[in-house]
Amino acid sequence: MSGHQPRLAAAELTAGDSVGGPLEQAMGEFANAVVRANTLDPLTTEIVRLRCAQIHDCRICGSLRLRDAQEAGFDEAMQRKIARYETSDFPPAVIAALRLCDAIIMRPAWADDALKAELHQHFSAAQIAEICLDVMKWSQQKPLVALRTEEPPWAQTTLLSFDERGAPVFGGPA
Amino acid sequence: MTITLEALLGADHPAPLAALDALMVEARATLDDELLALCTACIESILTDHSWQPPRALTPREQAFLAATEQFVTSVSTLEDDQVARLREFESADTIYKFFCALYAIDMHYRLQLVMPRVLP
Repeated sequence: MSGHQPRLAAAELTAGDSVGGPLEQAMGEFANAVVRANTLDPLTTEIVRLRCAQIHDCRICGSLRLRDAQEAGFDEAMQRKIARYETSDFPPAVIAALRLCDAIIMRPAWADDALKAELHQHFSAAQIAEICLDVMKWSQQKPLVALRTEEPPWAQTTLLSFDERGAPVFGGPA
Repeated sequence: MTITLEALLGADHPAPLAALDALMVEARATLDDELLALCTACIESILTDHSWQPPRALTPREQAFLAATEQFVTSVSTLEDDQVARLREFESADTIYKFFCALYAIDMHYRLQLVMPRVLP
């Protein structure tokens, strides 16, 4: 783990105002609704999620692995390729999804006609929209990164799944 | 003609769209009107590569929040302790936490507004 120290203490935050308040609840409802969307395969979802974690330097996101993706064959060799995906042997569809992710997070001007054509070779419109929503959802920890309160409470990589409402469930070592 | 997120998401993803709309209402209500206008203009200038100057001299509080906004949008991972400490000179921990949550929503929503019409339909 990196040596970042929290910039706010949890004890300084008031339950029902900031933590668990209307804004945080709305963020949670949005996240749950996006997670329930299910047009994408779990491997693409996981690779995009981990790209978001890398770019934002989110420690808790990086410590998690989607259970569905693991069951679909995701492994740590794939994780290591994400940072250099442009020169990786990822399938073209995954590379297109990661380029869209980067355009959203880093530079919207990168979303051009070439990327649009590339995406439509591999994904339906509903899937492209889901990738976009996923990138926003998987960036949800940015406030915690800003405050460096995103250190995970566990020491080892941990499995992440979601219940029927879309709420996260953390369960055991990955 | 600008294609809206409603048009791009309404058919395939109505539930996330409704939740996003509700989130934006909460996010915009979190910041006072003047700070919301400043932060929104700052975000739009960064994400569209346009230079922008505040319309008037800013208070030290506004300067601190605008500096945090710029860093949050360009690279949240390199936001520094001093920038948050500066915010704490003006606002409570609760307000700062809610500010960053609102910023997340406004920032990412605008990114989707920019990118989605370029890759869809």
